[in-house]
Order: sequence, then C-alpha cells, then structure tokens
Amino acid sequence: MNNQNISAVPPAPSVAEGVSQYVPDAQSAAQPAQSVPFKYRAQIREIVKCPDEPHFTSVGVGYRFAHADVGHDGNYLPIALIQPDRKLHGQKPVGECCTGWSLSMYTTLDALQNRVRKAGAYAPKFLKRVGDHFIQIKLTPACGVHTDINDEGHFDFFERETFNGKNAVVAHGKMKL
Amino acid sequence: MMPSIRTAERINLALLDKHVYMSDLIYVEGPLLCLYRDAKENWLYLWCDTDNKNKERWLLFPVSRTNLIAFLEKEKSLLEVVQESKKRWFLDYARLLPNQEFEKTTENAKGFSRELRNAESLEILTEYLPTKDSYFDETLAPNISIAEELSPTKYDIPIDGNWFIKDLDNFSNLYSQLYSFFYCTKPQFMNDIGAKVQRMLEAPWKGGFSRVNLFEALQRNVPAVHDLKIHQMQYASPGDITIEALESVGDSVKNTVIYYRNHIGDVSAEVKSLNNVLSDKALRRVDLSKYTDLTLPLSDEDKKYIAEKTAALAVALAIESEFSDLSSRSPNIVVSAKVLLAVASRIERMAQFEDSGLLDLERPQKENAN
Repeated sequence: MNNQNISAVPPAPSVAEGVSQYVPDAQSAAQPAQSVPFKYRAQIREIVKCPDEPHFTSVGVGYRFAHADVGHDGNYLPIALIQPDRKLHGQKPVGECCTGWSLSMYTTLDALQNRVRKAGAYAPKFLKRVGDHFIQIKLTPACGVHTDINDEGHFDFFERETFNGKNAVVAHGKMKL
Repeated sequence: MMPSIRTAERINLALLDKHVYMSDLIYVEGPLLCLYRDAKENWLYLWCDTDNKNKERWLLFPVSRTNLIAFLEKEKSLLEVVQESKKRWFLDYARLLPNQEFEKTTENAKGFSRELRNAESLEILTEYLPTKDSYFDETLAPNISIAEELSPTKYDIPIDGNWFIKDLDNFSNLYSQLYSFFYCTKPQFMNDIGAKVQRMLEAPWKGGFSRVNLFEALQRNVPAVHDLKIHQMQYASPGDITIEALESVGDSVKNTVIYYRNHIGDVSAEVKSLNNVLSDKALRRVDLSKYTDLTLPLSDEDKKYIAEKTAALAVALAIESEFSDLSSRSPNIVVSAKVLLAVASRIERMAQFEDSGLLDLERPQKENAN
C-alpha cells in the first residue's frame, strides 16, 4: 500500500452524550515535517519500504479503538509493542511487518463502529480485545503519514518522533453499538 | 471473567504439533479466525476471549472440506460450522510476564504457556458462540480471495501397465510434490502464499537435503481443503486414480509432463548447461540464500549466463509464469536456478511413469459427476 497525505477525513462530530472533548496540542511543526524522523525508525529500518513514499500536505482526524481510561498506554502504542509475540502474514513476527509499527485508525466513528459490529458476529467478546471506547485524534501534516484508506475507511498511521498521541486527542467516549 | 472450564478434560498439547498455520480468514485489529491444517484436516482457530493482560482463549475445531467451502461461499454461518464440528478444544495461551514464576518447560523458556481442554459441550461455549449472522465477509479477510478456484473436483489420472506397491508410493510422492509446486505458484484463495514461499526460499539452501525441504515446505503451504485426497482407485489395466484436487493444478501437472516428453531434447540441453555452470562455479552445495543478485559473489557475466539458462529452462518446460512467480520471491538467481532444476527433475521422473506405460496422461478424460 502506498502512503498518502492525511486527507479526505471528515470534521469531528458534534459533541454527543458521554463523549469527552479535549483541546489537542498544536503538535508544533517548527521544522519541516519531512525532516522529522519516524518514532520507531530503529525498528522499521530493516523493513523494506516502510512507510512508503510519504507526503504531507493536509489536515484531518483519525479514530481508534480505546480503553475506558483515556490515558491507557495501549491506546497510543503500535501492536508490535503491545503484543510483540503476535504473528502476521504467514507467521511473520509482527515486529518484522511494517504495519506492526503503525497505529490502526479509521476515517469516521461510523467506520470504526461498523467494524465492531462485524467482528462481534464472529467473536462476541471482541470489545474486550480492543476496548469499548474510541478516541478521536487530530492529525496534522507534522504528525506523520498514513497508508491508503481502504473501502472500509481503515488506514495505518505512522507517527513522527514529535507526535504525542495523548496530546492529540480531540474526543474520547464509549462506542454506541 | 472468563467462564470456568477448569473441570473440562485436559488434552495433550502434542496434538497441536502437526498444526500448521495457513491464513487469517477474519482479521480485525488482529486475527479473529485463522485457518490451520494438520496432516489431513482443516482446522479453524476462533479467537474467544482475553484477560486484557497476557491471556487469550481460542476455540479450535476441525472443519470438513464441504463446510469450509460452504462457509467461504456464505452458504453456512460460522455458528453452523462450529455446531457441526465433530470436536472442539479450548486453547488458553498466556504470555509469561516479566518476573512471573513458571515451571521450566521448553515452551515456558520461549516466553509462553498453553493449556488445551476439551470443549465438546456447546453449553460451555455459549458466551463464545458466533451469531446466526456470522457469514464470511471478504472485507474482513485481506488475505483471502474467494474469486479464485475454491472447490476441488474429482480428477482422473489415467493409469495402465503393471503397478507394484512401490510404484504407487513413488508416484504419490512425486505427484504431490509437483501438485504443491504448481499450487503455490498460481493465484489461490489464500493470497499470502507467496509471502510464505518467499520466507521458505530465504532459508539456507545446501545440496539435496534442501530440495527435500523445499517440496515438504511447499506441501505444508497447501491447505487441507485443497490437498490431494484419493477418491477412488480403479485398476484393471487400464484404470484411473481419481483424486480430489483443484482441476487447474491437476491440469498443470498433466500438461507439463506431456509437454516435457515432447520437448525432452530442449529440456535436457538446458538442464545440462545449468548443472554445468553450477558445478563449475562450485555453487551446488554453497548456501547463497542471504545474497541478493547484486551481492552474489559471481561476475556479472556469470550471473547473466545463469539468468539466461534458467529462463531458457523455464521456457523449455513451458512453466514461464510459475517460474516468474517463484523467481520474484527468490533471494537471487542461483536459488531460482536450484529450485527450477529440482522441479525439472521431478517432471522428468514423472515422465518416466508415462514412458514405462504406468501412466497414460494423454488418454481423454472421462466425464466426472462431481
């Protein structure tokens, strides 16, 4: 998948009941975004084309599964750090896969919740795995790059070293399913 | 709280030793439903539960060919497939936490522990059972393409002459090796086979042992649903071995052997040239799997010659597309050449069955009622 700009994501929804809103940090882009290294550059160095052909021009938001505690570290860490023994793609260790060092995100809350509904049909306790809350994260050109957005609104987001997920949270709330 | 299954019969973990991962059938923020195989059967691993720290529970159950295909074709829900399964096991997997005390077992030394329990009773499964709507959804299966050939068909291999038991043994080994080669080099419903083949080709490659390993590894990449299964053997000189196989793959084996016999001179010349250059450059037993074409310790002229001869052999065997798929995943041209020579020797040995009258591949196929 090619990486592309943070774009084509709709604005934040109006405040719903049970959703906490936050004022995110500016994630200052004092230096040109391209010159800031990726957060996990040491780990992805050996992975071919990871992330591939980044561009930085636009602004948007992304939605992630989250735990009830907005400060839970798991909300902001790539899967290769949360579950390093996980195997992907024919049993390749997740740490050897580009996607393992990204944050999984969706373009809209609907897309995120739609995923839960589908997954829940196979595994009723799916929410125990990913958390029953969501976080909405503000993404600026300086934050990082992301892969193509697929038909289900999903993309992998690769953080720049200066990006702090906790400070970029716009909203946190329980999913309504 | 995970439901208590502590009273359920504990099962020997060694039963999982032959389980081989095939692909993820449902993937949402991680694998939810995975396809495995053992020596003969398809197995599904369904993610069930977690304690959100270090433990995960999976439901393991074998699934028949018919039910797996019915699930992938959305004719049956996962719920029905679970309910119809003849056995069910719970696998509790725990990553060992730092400073956690544990027994000194091989598994624990690797940083995890597992426990397998019988889960035959549907009662114990209630809270983990999929819903009635749990039909296969391709949008949750990035590695699966159901547009590809899915259902094996009854496929006749025409035989003739005088067969001995050892002929049957040699034939079935050779046939399954060629079947797995053609299976793994064509687009299949599991579209991540190529990545596995690539990892396999990057493994150390030395001498004849590697050739055996190569074909064993290729065979492990064929899911049980598409593995060769004997449906019927009819032997009255002539006769047929009727197998359940993917028709396109069976046709590739047949057509390649027929083509080889009609072009044996061209193939032999290319095999000889390639073998000579590998011997002259002392490349037969040396492991070059960690080299790329650029870093191979050979002159540009030698690399070019090997590349040309390898391509010519693929043309002589009429397996250019399969070879192209393979070489795109191969670390370098020498590994590609060794693999191709190994395939050519299997085709040659299979052709000897035809030469000796034990096979009659050019006999018209009879109509099978599948």
